[in-house]
Amino acid sequence: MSSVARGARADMQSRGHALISAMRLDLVYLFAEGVFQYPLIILMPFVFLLAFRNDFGYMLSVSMETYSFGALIVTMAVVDVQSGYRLRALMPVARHIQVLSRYVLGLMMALIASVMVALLNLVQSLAVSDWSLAANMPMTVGALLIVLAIVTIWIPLGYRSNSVNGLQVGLLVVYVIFLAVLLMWSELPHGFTASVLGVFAVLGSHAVPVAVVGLAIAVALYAVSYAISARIYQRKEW
Amino acid sequence: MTAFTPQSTPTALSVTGVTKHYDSGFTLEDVTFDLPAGYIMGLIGPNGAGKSTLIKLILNMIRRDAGDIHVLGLDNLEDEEAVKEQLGVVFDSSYLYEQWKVKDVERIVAPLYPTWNHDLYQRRLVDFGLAGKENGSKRIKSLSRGMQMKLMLAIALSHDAKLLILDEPTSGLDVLARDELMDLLHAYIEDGEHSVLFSTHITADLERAADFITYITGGRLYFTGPKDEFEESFKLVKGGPDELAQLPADMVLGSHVYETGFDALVRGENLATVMRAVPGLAVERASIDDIIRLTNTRHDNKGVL
Repeated sequence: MSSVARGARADMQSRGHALISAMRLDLVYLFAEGVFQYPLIILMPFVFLLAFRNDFGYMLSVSMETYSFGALIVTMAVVDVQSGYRLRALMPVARHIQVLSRYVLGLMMALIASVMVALLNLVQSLAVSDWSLAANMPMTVGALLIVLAIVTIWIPLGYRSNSVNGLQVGLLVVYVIFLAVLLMWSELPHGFTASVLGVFAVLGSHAVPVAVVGLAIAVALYAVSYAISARIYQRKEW
Repeated sequence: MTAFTPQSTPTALSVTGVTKHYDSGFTLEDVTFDLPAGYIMGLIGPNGAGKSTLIKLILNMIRRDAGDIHVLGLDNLEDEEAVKEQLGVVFDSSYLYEQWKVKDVERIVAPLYPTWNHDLYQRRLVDFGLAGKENGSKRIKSLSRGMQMKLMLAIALSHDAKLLILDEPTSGLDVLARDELMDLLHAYIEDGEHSVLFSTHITADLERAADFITYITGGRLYFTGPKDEFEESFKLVKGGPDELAQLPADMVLGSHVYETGFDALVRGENLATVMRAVPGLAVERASIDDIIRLTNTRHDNKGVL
């Protein structure tokens, strides 16, 4: 191996170590109050699902699950402001790597949320006899996209904000929007919800191209969001 | 301004023409100094002089508008990661998340530094009275300010940081703990490879520990160089109430008028001229406190405004 290749490899390893260090610190901040409440939060939607055993229970459970993972991203930004950023400023990890860490974690949260929603769908199909597992699989993609959307929008806002109150109000707004969507869905005329689901069904019938286009858009927006966050964080002063 | 440029010793910290403007109007203007490796430098100045701004610039916590900063020969922006591996930092308040427990700190911080020394960290905890189950279960927020400082110091000393940067480290400590810290800093630089930059208001610490002084006031560098040279550069002249007005105004750096007389600070090289103007004035050695106090007063030949 040439010295240039060895240097490049060492550089990659160093960046990899820096990224892992930053992710570890993000998780440590996130779980500073203890990890025990998180399994409860993640499993609670299953309780609601089994308690209701209907469309409303399913939507409630999916919303709770998706919101919980989205809220973790929001919580990271709040903890950042509360802890004064100073350890992040001292850690030997470049700022753009620290930002990248949060987007990698965001992607992980989105994937876990998606898997959890798939599990909710599976449990619902076992608990409710006329439940269509296949027809509700788009919800899995929906959860993934919603968490990614929260990450895409929220991380730049979190880096830009210096106010815990502002971030907490933002968290509340996100929660209210989720509840509103949930309540609106159950209150909306059946014809309307059926047509919305019909759109999903049409999209589902072209699953591959829709998934490719959706993924491309999501990746592009995610990358733009990262670039904005990196720029904000690079200029941030403490 | 007096400048000192080391010729033979490697440089631990080199600050060249560093400038930072704030929207508030405060400006840290064109600050230049070098800290040779193996020495302790005291960074002094009144509140709001720009000491913390300078430390934040070294740590790249704020962006500079002009100038260069090199730590152990590395640019603090281009080589930020390598520089920060070599830095140990203690702030005047804890940078650790207040919900963390003392026993968790090593697990969190150690992976950040490739040269982390577990045994050394544990020894420091024992030395600083932070070891044991009871202390381990305490949350950071429940520690006193002095103990928080000691914990940050234990971290700073446990990854072979070549340069320690301490921002008001003694402000939360009693006299005994301050003495211990000064002894520890002396031991730390003994091998000639480690260096310390510390800002302080407590000039007794400087008298004991500092080899070099960098004095900033109003955002400008007033002096940088060996501590002895700093004290020898200034003289305190004392006289009767009417004599202050007779002093050459351009040679009085600052003065303070009392009912029975005045203190005035002059540069050592101007002392003969001052004494010729007003023979019989009492001349005393200026302490660091005198220099800070009197260079931050205005003088108009009638005394302090």
